Amino acid sequence: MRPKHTQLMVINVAQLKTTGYAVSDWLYAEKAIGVELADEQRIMALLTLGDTEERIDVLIDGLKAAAQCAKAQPKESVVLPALQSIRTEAVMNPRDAFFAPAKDVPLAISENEICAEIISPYPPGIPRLLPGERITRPIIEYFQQGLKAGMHILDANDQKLHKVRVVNFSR
Amino acid sequence: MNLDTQQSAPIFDQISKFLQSPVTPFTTPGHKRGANLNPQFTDVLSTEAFMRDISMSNGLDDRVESKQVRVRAEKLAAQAYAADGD
Repeated sequence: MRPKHTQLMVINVAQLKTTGYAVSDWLYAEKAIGVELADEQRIMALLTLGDTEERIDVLIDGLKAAAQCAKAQPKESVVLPALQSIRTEAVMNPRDAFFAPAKDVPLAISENEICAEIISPYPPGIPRLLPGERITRPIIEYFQQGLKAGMHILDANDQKLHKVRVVNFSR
Repeated sequence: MNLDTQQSAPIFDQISKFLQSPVTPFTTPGHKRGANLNPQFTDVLSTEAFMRDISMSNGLDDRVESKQVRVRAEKLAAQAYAADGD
């Protein structure tokens, strides 16, 4: 049936021993199907007034094929630190941090530094770190595990986050 | 402006390629490549305009931006406006 209004279809793929990232990428590369969101456990497809029964069949067939493929190539499941644990503390005005002298330091040793850039996994494009926020150990682990699972960082100076830009207080 | 640096248009080129591609979008925008639109819109804007309204993620580029469409366009814009050290 054609959707009468926009529906957000969230599909949890964790039980297939794969990640939402892997399923999203496989659907796009192999079946030319684009989904709106993906994270370490889920994908989300947007069904709207523009969809038809034929298009939804394309999605269903694609998902069936993706499930078969995932079974053939199981991946390690990923559990990221809980969102509550990556709550950050703003210790500097964002503008001051953004325009302050900065240095790039390896993510792994950036604990307690003050972030000087915006770092958002995309999707969904919600910043996890903003200029002026203190970098904590759970935040570092969140990015390390997320990147390993296939997280994409949109706006950081180093999209792979080998290094993060932080306020340089020694200048 | 240094015109020598402005010899390509990554987003424009990729829109052109996308029009030939078979991608079925379950992304924003909600109109799905111009399908099933109210004539109130298409009478003014044309279906073709909506067909060129395309998501970047899993649309013009893949999720991890393998083609670097956005990044290349931003670098060109930064050079055009002398916006940073690049």
